[in-house]
Amino acid sequence: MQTDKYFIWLIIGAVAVLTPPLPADEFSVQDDWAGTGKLIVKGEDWSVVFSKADGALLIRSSLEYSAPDDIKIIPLTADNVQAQGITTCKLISQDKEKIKIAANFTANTQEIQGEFLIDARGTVKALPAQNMNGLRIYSAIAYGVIPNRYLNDDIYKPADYPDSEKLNLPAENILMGLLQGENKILITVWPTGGQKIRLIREEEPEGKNLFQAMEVALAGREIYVGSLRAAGIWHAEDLTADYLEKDISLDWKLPFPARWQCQLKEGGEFWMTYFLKEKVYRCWRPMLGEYKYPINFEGDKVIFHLSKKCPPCGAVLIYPLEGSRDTPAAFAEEYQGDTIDVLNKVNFQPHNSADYLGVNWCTGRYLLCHIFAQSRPGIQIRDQEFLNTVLQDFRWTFQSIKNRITEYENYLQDMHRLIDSWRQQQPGPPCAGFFDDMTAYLDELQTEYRAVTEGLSPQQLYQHDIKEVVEKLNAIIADNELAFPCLAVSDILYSIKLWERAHHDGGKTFGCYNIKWHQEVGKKYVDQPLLLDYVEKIRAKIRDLEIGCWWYETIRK
Amino acid sequence: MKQYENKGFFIKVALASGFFLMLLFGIAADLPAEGTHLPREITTASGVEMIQVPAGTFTMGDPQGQPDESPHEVYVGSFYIDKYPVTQEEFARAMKDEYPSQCQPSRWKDPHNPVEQISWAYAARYCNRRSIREGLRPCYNLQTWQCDFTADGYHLPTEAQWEYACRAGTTGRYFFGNDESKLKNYAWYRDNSSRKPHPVGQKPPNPWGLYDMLGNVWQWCNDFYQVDYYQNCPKENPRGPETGDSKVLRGGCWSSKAVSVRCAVRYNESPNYADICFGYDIYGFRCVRNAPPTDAGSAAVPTNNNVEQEPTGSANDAAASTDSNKNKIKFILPIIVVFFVVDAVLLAILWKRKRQRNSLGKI
Repeated sequence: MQTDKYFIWLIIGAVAVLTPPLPADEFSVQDDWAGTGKLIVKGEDWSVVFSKADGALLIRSSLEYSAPDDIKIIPLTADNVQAQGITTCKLISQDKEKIKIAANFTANTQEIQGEFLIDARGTVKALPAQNMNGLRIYSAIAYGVIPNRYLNDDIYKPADYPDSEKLNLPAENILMGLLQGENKILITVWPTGGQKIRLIREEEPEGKNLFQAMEVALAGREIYVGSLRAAGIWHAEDLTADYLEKDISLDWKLPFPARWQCQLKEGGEFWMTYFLKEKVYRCWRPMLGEYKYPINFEGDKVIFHLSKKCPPCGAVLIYPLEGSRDTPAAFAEEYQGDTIDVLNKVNFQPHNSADYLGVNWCTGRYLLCHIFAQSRPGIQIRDQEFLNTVLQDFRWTFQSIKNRITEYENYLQDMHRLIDSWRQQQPGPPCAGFFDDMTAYLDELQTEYRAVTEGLSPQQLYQHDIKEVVEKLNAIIADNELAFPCLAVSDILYSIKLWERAHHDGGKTFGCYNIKWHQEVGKKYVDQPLLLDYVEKIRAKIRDLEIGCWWYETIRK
Repeated sequence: MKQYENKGFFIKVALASGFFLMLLFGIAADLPAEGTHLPREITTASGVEMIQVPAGTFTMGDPQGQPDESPHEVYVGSFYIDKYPVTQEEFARAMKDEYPSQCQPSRWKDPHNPVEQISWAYAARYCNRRSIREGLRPCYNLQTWQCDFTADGYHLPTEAQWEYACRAGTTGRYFFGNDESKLKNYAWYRDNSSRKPHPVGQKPPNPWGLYDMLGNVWQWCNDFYQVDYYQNCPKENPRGPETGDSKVLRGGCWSSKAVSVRCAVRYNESPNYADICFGYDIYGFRCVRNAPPTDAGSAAVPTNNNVEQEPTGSANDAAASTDSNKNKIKFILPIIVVFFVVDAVLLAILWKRKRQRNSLGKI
């Protein structure tokens, strides 16, 4: 009997030990507004403080590695006057997921009203009410970044704009600030609308190359402000000439598994985004052919393999994109689902069916690999069925290519029309200069493209090449005595050179020009707010074309 | 009065003599030192024009270039090098029997254009074909891809041979000096190529008569690429690292920026890279072949004699050059002696005539 009693206690004890504790409140509120003038919302490793004296919300991190700098949010009036104090601050509601607080601010003689929802992650959702025209979010921003799914991210370095106090950015839904110390990323997302975003660079302490704040004109819409936190969540690495043609392992380690990225100068000319790959391998690019992929990781170790084809290019940033909760993509998806809707657009289909024999990319290297069939025992060049499939693949691919290069043609025409119509509406400066730049870019692109297509239309190219290929493949199929069937098939490739130029070189030309221009146009006109709408429209047009691109036009796949 | 007249006369003579001597020294300064001979041109049995490059020492690399271009002294023995990059016409002629459907691999078809879309391995095959065609011993083992430098056939130039030939005794960033703005006069590159290669020989040659050393197409070298090879390479006839992943390319191409179309620029590519689609129509080559030591230059037949003689002995063991100033003095001393003798005779005659005129004037 006594034994049973002990046994029962033992079981109870074991259950007590093994059962996880009930979740405590994920965050709490300390309302001392009447006393110290502070209302504090506290989470696991963060706090949001409404401070009467500061007239601001302060987002603080309690993590050891995190920089001491707060993220300070101050509302703005329609005249861009900052709030100087908070008059009232009330807890409106509280549940397990969020806390809602209403606050009234003063800005000179005006009163600004707003509501703020704070969730378990410490993200603040600001809902503008009376007179709240915008927010100024202060922090020590080393780099401003507009993430972009398909083209390069736009990275703004303070040093690039020594004479600018305000940079007007073509950010459509999201802006990141990589904060001094490399342990925190300030991130803001907002729904599509008429918002205007700026980076502020004024009253800068000497020697500190930082933006002091980001500023958002809300256009009456909500905005989410939060931070991503981890030791070494971003990293700047100076790639000096010593990195050339060597494998260099960094001292900096990846803080958590995710999809990490950096921008390197492909061919020493074009900034391209490279995701950190798990394996060392040789990549292939239309500009440069094959080369060792320039960056990979092993566990948390990051290794650069910079070569003549992707040479050292000065300071580069490494930061996460997606694949973990503490990434910008995950943040954006959680709070603003339509922010990165381009993510799910389908790329160009490279082959005609799911059960293709492997003869995709008929016009290129894969054709050689597969037709020569060295890696595929059992498939012989004399195999009629195989050859017929090759023919089908050719036809399908050619039709697809024709469609794609028709898109190039349409793009050129549309852009010219667009610029001309804008020019008529705004003939004077500063727009005229911008339109001139755009026309010059289009002319150069068009000249390059015409050179590779030799001025032939997509239809003419299609007719020429499909005829050549069909005739030659049929001849090979029919000729059982052919001495060198493999060589005869490879000869087909030469007959479709023009197509190769139009399609591959066309893609290469468009890819390079557009990636470069998308980035340049996003940076070049930041001093001219009047141009911002035009810049955003141009970038959207470029993006629309490149979203449907062949994989090699950009490397961001 | 008479004294002054004589003085003026002698001053004039002295000045004229000085000027003449300076002229002679000037000519002598441009003469090659012993051990180096002016390049001579030959035409091989298969009709390819080559230049015999003299042995010599030069500074390989560029102090203002990339980290893999660190300057260092290198001695290179004498060798023959193609006057032009291998053209499509020549390539097809050599390869048509063995590789009938791949003897015209170039994208930009023109018989006088440099052959392009050529992998290193395929260039090596061509070298062997050309050797066999001329009855020479092929250099390349097509199984191991090793080059037998003792063979008398054709091979791709070593990096040192290529740069030595490209510089042609010059020391600037380009063989015409350091002025990048002049590059358009000497090479096809991005700014003037209209995005395509051009027929060989349309731009002026370098001082040794080699055409298209810079621009038009990158030229394969025999060496494996290694970024720090210059720090450890032999001082005489370096032939590249024993192994590697990629082979060296030199000279820049029609799509290169000016900064890549320099004598010292090193590029590299996988030797078997054979991407038929694109990004590949920039690779061509030219061949080299051992030449006898330059003092046995008679083995090379002058250009207008279209029969090539077989050179004897290995070229790469030519003696190093001796003191060049000493040689110049050896050359110029007899001329100076003759000049002074003639000058003395002339002066004596002039002095005699003047004296006669003076005595007639007195009468």
